Amino acid sequence: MLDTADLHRVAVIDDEPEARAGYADYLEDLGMEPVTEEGPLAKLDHFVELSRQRSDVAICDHRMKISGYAEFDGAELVSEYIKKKFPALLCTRFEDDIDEIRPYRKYIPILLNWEDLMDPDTIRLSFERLVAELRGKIPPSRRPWRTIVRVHDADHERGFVHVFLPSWNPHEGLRLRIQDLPPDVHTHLRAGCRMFAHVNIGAEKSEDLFFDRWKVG
Amino acid sequence: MASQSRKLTILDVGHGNCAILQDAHGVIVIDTGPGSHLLEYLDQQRIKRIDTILISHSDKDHIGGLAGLLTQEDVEIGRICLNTDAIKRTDSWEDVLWILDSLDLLRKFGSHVPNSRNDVRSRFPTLRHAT
Repeated sequence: MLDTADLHRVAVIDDEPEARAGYADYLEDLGMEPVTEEGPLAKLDHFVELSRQRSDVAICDHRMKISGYAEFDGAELVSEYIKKKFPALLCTRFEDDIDEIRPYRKYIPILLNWEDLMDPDTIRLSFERLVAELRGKIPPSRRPWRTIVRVHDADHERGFVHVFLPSWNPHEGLRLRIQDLPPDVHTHLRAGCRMFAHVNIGAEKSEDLFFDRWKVG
Repeated sequence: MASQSRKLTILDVGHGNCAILQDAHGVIVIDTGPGSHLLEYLDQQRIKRIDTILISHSDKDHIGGLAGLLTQEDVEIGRICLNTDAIKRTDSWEDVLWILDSLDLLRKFGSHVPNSRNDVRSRFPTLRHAT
């Protein structure tokens, strides 16, 4: 059974060489064995298998396609790792990455800023949460419930919809990309309409929310 | 009734309120707060029926959790008692009405939706989820 004590070899996956090297040094100082992944990375499935053989856990940046380092971004990679029960956490440097990350968020237990990882306690806690979730212990913040989604406005031209989740936080709206919603929902998206979806309404922050099983009422 | 059989649980739901009163006769939920706290509690306690839900007022922080609770398929609800300010017709209240309508709860159980200030207390008698 997976245990945090087994997470010694840490894959460092980032398209910036200096960031990879710097973070590898930091992990070494913490007594871990960094495995820096030099690009360009192999195709997604192949790379997942390769990196699983040479590391125990992965720390992965989100933006990787833009530099040619990989043909996929970190959210897609981490979600594939997690589906294969391999512990991996995703890091980002940009708040607006969440639009790209959210479709994969169901399979991304941990999303952090790179700066957060400079705290050893954060690494330890993140690894513990990863292992727990991969063992099937889903925290309340990650458990989806059927709930109502109220559309505040829909901008089909720009491809965004703003919604409220009254059962999560009735005061805070959030933006979703229409392309990430099921096609049968698209034509119903207009201000004031309501529908059902399964959402982890126990999440504390909006970037932790993920949506699944949409249904028009 | 023995006092030992009564239990009052007050959940920390952040901004809002939520309490659960349990005894040998059933379960009463007083306000429902936002988030999944109440749903998690019901699941942990294996509570599949709530006899009465009391909503003290229809502010978003009190009624948002009601919307979440009504959408659950495995929790039976006996009745809901709402404060008269439900007639404010806020978005949150419209959310609740939409759920009741979408899940066919009003028609099936002949429930009553408040529409005047004379409705001091609105009741949804014998309202429960279709299974």
